[in-house]
Amino acid sequence: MQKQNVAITAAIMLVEIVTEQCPQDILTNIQVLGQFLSSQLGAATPTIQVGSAKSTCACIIALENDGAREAFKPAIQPIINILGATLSRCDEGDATSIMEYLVSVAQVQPIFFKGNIDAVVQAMLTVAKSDDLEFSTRSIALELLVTLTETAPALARRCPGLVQGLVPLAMNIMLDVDETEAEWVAGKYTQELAEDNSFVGEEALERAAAGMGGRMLAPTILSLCQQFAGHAKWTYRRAAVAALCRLAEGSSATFKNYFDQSVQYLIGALQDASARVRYQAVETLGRFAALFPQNAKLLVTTFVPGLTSMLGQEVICDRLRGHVASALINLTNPETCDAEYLVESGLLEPLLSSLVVCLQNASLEVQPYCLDLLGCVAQVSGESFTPYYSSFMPGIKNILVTAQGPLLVKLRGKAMDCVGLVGDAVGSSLFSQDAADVMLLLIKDLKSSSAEAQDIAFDYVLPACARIARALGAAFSPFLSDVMAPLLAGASQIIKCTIEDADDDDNEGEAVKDEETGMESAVMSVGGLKKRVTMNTYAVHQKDQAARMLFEFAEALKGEMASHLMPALEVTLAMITDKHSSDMRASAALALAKLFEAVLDAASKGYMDSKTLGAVLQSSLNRLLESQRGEINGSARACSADALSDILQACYDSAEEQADGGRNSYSVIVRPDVSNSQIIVSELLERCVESVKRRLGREHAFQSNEGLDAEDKSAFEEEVRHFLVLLIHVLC
Amino acid sequence: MDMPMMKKMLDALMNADNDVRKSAELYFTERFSNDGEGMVQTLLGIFSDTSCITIHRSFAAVLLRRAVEKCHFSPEKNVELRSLLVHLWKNETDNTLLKRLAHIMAQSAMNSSWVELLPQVIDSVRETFVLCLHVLV
Repeated sequence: MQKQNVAITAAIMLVEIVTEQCPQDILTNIQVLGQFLSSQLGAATPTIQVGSAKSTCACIIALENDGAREAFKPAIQPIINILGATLSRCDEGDATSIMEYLVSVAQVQPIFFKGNIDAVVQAMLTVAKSDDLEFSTRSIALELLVTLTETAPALARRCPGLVQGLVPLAMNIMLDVDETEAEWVAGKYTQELAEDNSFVGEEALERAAAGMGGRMLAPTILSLCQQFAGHAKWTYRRAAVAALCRLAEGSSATFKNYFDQSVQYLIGALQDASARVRYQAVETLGRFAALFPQNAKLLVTTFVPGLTSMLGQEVICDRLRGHVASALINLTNPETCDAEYLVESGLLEPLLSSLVVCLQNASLEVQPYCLDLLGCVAQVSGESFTPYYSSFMPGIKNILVTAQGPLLVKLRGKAMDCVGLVGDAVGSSLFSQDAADVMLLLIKDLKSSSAEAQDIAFDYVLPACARIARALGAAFSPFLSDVMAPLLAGASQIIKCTIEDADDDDNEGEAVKDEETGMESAVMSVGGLKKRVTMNTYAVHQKDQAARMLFEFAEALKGEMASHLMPALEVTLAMITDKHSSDMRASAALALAKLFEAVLDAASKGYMDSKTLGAVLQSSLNRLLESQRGEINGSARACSADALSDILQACYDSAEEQADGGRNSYSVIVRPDVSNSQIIVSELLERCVESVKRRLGREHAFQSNEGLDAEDKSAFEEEVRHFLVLLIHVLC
Repeated sequence: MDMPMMKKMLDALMNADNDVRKSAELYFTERFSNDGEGMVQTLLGIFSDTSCITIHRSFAAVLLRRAVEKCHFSPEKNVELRSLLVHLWKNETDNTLLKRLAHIMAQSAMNSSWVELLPQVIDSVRETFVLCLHVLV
């Protein structure tokens, strides 16, 4: 029988390989395969059982025909039995490989579990709760449960065992923390937190809340939070706060109902005897600030005084102090925090006093966050920051001069960020002399060929220059040539990208990065074949940053960019259709619109003739329409549509304003000619049709998915509106 | 390329010395581009020769999978190749070599339709089963 077993095992393995490489052959041979695999699920040899379980799952994943897939439904219970048997003989490796396949089924064919979901959920809960098993085995079982909440939320909501079992399971895993409180307190802020099992539980909770919605999970989570919050052990109290945070993160819409009581709870948690509980409360507060901007005033006025006090205390451990600075950064986000929240409530001066203290005695790990915070506070306070300017600017300039070497790169970079933000807040008259001093330092960095200077050029130096340009306006012109040279060089660099055969041993999804060259390579399936794709992602990042900087400079300096406008337009047009990154294409499209507005401004100031203006308009519109045609990324498509809209709006706005506030369209500086307008309208109508089709396709997919119901209905594609607005612009 | 020469090349391709390995890879690629089918024949010869050491047979199978991916066989040659692969499959008893063979067969199925592959293999398992029963009786 030995030979027989080898032959069967090999045949089962071949089926598994064929499902990956020639999935269409599975449907063709469904009857033969179904009989063969179902008979082998009951084989006496464990190797054959496990192999059949994996191959059966592989077939389920490969089949796109719902009817054909149903033929494998009777296999679920035997597969669960085989899983149980592997665990009984302590063969966790085989159990894990079967569960990995079940996770894949849950990812691509979750409805296959319909009718058997209770059995699957119970089996997975049993595995995930078993303390005797390796954590990696338990976490795969948990992964299957969480995946079901994401891919078939309606099915998951109808399974009471899942809702009732998953939350206590995840929250118990959240208690599994390796570091003692003393070890944790001794750590530095930027030191990576230990890869505790507790994070697996936290992520499960957040993903489940995001997947099936907070309505079902919130009562169970909050009830357990209450129990845990009163526990004598800090691990329980920390888990309670973390669970609250993850529920809010996963389902912020539902969480609004519990927001007020959660705020009250956080006030208490910030006073907890354990630094880890306080740290978790600070983190939750920071997340609340980002998740609930509409409650910014309440959060700022309630929590900034306490956090300000913590920030100024040298005795507080480094990790907690750094996190306090980070939470304050979120609370004082200029986009959500009004000046009045800080200024009129009398919070500004104490906060700045604490910042002075913290910048003087906090660790080098925490100081960069203090500089970030200072920048935010300055931006929020605006003119109210003026009296404090002289207390901070010399110190920041000193950091720029003295913070040298690889260990201080972040501190120096944040000082650069901070200078720009502070300067922008107080205005050109107060800032101009310091700005000139700082620009000399920054230009020295831009001209340096050292690796360290190259590394920070696009992440810190150029963004700082852009902020200073915003603060100085036209007075920035003397520095522009030195800044634009490296910026344009970065924007026009060629991205190296190769595709070659992967080795047989390479696994799909494997990615490696060479930090020195910036080359990143990943193994992926191209046309069913394993290929290794290698790309200079460092260059991609730089180009994306360059596009963002061009946006900033164009917005800050407008026509004052003068002779730099045409080269900037040239590199931006090329980036709009760059195939390497949708982020870059989106950034470039938005930059183009800003550069076009700058060109119009330059023309109105006599820096550019009208013939050039017409050519710029035409090439900009053509390139954006081209990008619309082939764009597969929704965000890049939306940015490109926005850019088209902004350019046409800018043409309209270039006309003289009339007494009624309207524009005399006959006096526009530039506009698309009639034949070009016809092409634009026709193209936009085609895009409208495509957009409507995409929307209908998504609606159809939603309605035909049994795993979803009305509770899962999110907003459908709204981009059709973009195109309609654009059409109106063209017609105007 | 004859079999002894191929065995030497397989050794060179598995050599720990980077330079030796690189020059062997270069040589293999060059020979393959000149005579792909001939190379497939030699590799099949190594794989099917049970007197060869397993590591040679295994590595020959790895190269064979890649060769099958890149070679364009005439329909007749393809039938011949597939028939030989199924024959080898039926007679192989080493798990590792069976796994390599499975990848070659799946590669061939990817190149052009081979819907009979799975039924053929499953039938061969049944035949083995009947044979085993006879032996037991």
